[in-house]
Amino acid sequence: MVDAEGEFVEYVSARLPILHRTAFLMCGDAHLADDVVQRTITALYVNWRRVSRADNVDAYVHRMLVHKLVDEKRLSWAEVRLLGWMPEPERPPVTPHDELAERDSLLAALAHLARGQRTALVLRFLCDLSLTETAAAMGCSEGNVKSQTARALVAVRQVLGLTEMAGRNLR
Amino acid sequence: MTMSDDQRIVALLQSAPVPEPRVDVGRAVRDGRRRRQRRRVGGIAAVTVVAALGVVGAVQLGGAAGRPAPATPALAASPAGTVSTAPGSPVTCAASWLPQPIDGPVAVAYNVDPTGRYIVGDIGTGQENGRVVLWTDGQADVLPAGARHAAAVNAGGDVVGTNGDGTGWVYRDGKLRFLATPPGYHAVLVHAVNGRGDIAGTASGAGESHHAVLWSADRPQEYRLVGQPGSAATGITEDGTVVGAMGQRPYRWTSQGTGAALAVPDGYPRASVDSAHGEWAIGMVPGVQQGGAVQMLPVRWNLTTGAVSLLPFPGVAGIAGNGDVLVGDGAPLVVAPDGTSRRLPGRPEVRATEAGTYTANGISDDGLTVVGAVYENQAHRPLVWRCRR
Repeated sequence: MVDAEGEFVEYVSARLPILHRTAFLMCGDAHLADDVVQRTITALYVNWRRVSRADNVDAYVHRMLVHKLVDEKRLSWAEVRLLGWMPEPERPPVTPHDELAERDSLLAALAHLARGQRTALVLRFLCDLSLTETAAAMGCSEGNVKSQTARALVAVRQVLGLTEMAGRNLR
Repeated sequence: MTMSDDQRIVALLQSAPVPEPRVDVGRAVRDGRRRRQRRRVGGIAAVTVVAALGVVGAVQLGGAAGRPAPATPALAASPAGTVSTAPGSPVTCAASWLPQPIDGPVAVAYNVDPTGRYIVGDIGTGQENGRVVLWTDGQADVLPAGARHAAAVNAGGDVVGTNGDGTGWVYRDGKLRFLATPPGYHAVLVHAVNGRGDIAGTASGAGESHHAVLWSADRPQEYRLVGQPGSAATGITEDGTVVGAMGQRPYRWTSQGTGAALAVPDGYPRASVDSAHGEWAIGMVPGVQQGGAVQMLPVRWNLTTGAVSLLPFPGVAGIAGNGDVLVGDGAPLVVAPDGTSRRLPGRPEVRATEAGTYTANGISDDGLTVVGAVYENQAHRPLVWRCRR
């Protein structure tokens, strides 16, 4: 079987880093991001023949990712999650470098956003989805995406502005 | 140059430090495959073995490198003779069920040895409980439960495969033995075995590290690394030629271990090799980008001349030692190197007509035995086509 499966592996291998980055920035939890991406690509494999014919496969996959993430949050509240593997020890926190302070403060800024704002920001800016595509992925109206994004931007700019000022004060 | 706030946020999102992904594409394929089967599976297939005869005509394609073959409807429910337009006598093929020694709604024949005598497959529910079955002259034996996911069988009836945990195994003379995983690697993927008992596969380790490996069916605890780190082996021919990849390049090694790159078709960035028999190998090249996905196109190498050609099909399932290509999806088709092709007949009692009812997975060296499965009524049943010239 060389055709559909090869296509799938090729696509997923190429997109794995961005899918994982997207998931991590949306949820801020490395384990959860791994888990959600794993489930997303498994579901993608099951539906690959259909999905690979979609007009915009990337947008479709991001939608799957968002839904899995929402499912995951819902599940973790409602029931105990059965892991298919032994939980690994806690990963060491991502080590901040001085020159990376701004990037880290972005993570901190994201951490303070409401989930909808965070999702909207990541999909619009990192994944470069259109307003319509983001709304479809999040299952809400375009107006809602606009307002979520606007609020997220205000919060993020504030944090980044503060970092800049802090940096200036240091120099 | 100043960046706008928006651009800066994009740049930050792109460069924010995120942990390394720990996601396993191979596991997604395995889990997805099972889930897909589970979704299809409802009842248990009845076990009946009936033989049907059908005369298969040959049709001439516009040369192996011509236009893509037109999409063909699934097989006719009853095999009807077709007029041959190709030189030579028509080939007569019969499709018959393979017996199922154990129950299971997902019963599929995956591969056949070069002589057509031995066939390997899986029977299970589509979950991780599938048992490997070896059919010898049509007689079924179930391998020990420690063997899962058979990959290939040789002319001596040696079966090789890889368990879900990445352990390779060989089944020979009624005994199951496990293959050594080379130190520094945590898993192997076993692909092929030749008549001498040489087993080819790839060991993988942390990160993306991997290395092509050869084992011997005699001494499964010994191994030989092939080529440099970054190599991968996906096939081995009867004379011990190993095919695979070195980095992103399609590659071959002689039985002495001398490596050489295989040609990549003009205009394509790279190619991968899937399997090899006789002087032939098949693989894929990345074709056109379709809405974010890459359409992979099948290719065939002649290992003697080094020539590579694109095949005008959506995909190929196997290559015979005589160069016949098995087009397995939709309605199974066998295509000779000269471009003549023959469609394999269906079973009269199979009513399903949609493309994908029949799948063909393996072909013998003379191209006359093909193995696969029928999917109907939520169950897969193993099938063998035997042809005569």
